[in-house]
Amino acid sequence: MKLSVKDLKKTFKLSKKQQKINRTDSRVKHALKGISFDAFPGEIFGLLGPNGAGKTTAMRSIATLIKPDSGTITLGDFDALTESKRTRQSIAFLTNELKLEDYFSPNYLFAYFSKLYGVDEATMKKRRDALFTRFGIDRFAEVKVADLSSGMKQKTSIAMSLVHDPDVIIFDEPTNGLDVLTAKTVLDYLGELKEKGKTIIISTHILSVVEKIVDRVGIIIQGEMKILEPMDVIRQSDNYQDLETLFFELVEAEVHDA
Amino acid sequence: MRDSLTIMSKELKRFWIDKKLLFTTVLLPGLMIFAIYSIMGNVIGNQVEEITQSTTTLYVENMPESLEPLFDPALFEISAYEGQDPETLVNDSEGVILVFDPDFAEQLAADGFPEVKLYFDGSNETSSEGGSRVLNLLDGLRNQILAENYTEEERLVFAETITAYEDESEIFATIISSIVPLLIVIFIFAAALSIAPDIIAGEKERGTLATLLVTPISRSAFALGKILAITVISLASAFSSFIGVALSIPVLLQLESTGSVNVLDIYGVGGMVALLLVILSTTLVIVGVISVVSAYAKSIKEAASLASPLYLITIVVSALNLFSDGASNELLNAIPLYGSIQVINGVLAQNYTWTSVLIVMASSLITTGLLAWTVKLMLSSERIVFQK
Repeated sequence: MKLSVKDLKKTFKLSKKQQKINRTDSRVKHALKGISFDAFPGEIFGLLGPNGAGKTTAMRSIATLIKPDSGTITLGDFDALTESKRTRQSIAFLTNELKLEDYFSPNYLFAYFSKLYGVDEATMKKRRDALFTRFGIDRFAEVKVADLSSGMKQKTSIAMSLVHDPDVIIFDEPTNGLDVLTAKTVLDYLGELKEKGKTIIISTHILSVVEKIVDRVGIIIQGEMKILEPMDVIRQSDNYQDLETLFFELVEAEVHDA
Repeated sequence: MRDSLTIMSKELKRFWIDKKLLFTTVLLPGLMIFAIYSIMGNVIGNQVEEITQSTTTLYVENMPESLEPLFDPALFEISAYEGQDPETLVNDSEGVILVFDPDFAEQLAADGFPEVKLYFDGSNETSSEGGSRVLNLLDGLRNQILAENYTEEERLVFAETITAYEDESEIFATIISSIVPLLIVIFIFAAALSIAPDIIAGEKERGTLATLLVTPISRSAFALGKILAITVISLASAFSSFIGVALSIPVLLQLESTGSVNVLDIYGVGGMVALLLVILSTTLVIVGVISVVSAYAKSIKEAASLASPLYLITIVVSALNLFSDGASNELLNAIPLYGSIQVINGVLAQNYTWTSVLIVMASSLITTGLLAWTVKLMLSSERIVFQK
């Protein structure tokens, strides 16, 4: 399912406290200044940018958690903004700020989220067995989330986000805080999902991850899409040395302009 | 509705598996109330027993020797009154002063009208108890003298036929209706306040709210599921508190037994159904109010502190019932909470109409609907959901 974002704008009102933190007299923050990008089935799109650039706002807008001021988001053939229930049924959205309830086991939570997504019992069990085996959660399926290691919690969160077998997968920092083995498991799985034709958008600060698995990249700086290119173009272009150098040049240029 | 039930069952399961939460929310209130009220009842009982069994220090002047046998040495310790300031003496000694006319016996014999002066400290329990004992003895003496000197017809200015009807059920209903509405509201509010912030604001604080909001479940179904779960747990907690009160009332009120009072006999099935419906409606309103506060708050702590003033207002509104004879106009029962308390009072005092019950239910359901809608709006507000 193709995801198409067009001219997305979002402005936040700042409280006095936030004005103080951001050291600004402005009462508003332009989080997104009209970004556009497409993500296609069977590809991994990397959304990069420094903290506060607008990545999370863009992803929250796609997940219908917040409403953009203007612009359009289309999923396949429908308007994601007006058909929010259908949108949420079609996407997986996982960020570090989304947590699982400590009191429950992965088994219970998988069944719970499956119910909320309207997945029938037989399908739920099939998907649960496949995902739990794939991530090694099956051995901890009855352990409370509170007692799981951080790596196992992250893998459990990923499994929960996929209970409904979504077409579009949006992961914010999917390997954040994971050891190399767990990170590899997650990245390999994203590769498998890509092969299955899923549309995948990831946001990460780990540029080596981007270089390794991402097909196209968009770099947002201060709410604007500064670069939108296939990774191959970046790798082969004479204008760009490598992704890391390009990223730092863009950020430094923005800091200099500011 | 299916989604709301899924949300509700998750909250109930969480509550059930968290034994600490289950204990502190459902069992502890009942146990605490039973323990506290029983201790209070025993302390009061001991005080009363101590006073009734205390010896009265009786200062007498000019008491005829013939009257001395009236005063049981086990209850009275008799001393001579030596003309001290009576107020100071009864205050300091916690005793009683009894002064007879010097020629009390002679005047009685001559059909005169002798005087007896009694002094005691009405603000002191021991002295007051002593005063009552002496008054009873003097009454007995007066009746004895009258009996010795006059026929029954001569003693009576008018004849009396006294028939005192005492319906235990009515006494019970009167006592219960004056205090129970207040207790009901306090227990339900306390129960809702102990869990709603955790169930709603806690989701925000723990980062689990947004996880649910990215699922296809509607905000309305989510809000309704939460409110239903809090209602069920609040009712369980309030029920526990009631059991605690019911078991401790006999001790607190120093009743010999409550076996003679059968609640179902007093109120009937209709009364019990009316009571249940009004309590359920009231719980929904209270839970709705706390849910709105919890949805607005960033954390459990903030939700609890924001709800505390509402708790005090609720207690004040409920306490007004103690000085009220019920709503003068049935339509006033449509005021949320106020109407509930008036009708609970009416049901318990066996003085209610089904119209008033229906008014309270309709008003409570509409209010809860509005509050649930407000929760839904708050959960749709990115500013409230993602505020830090």
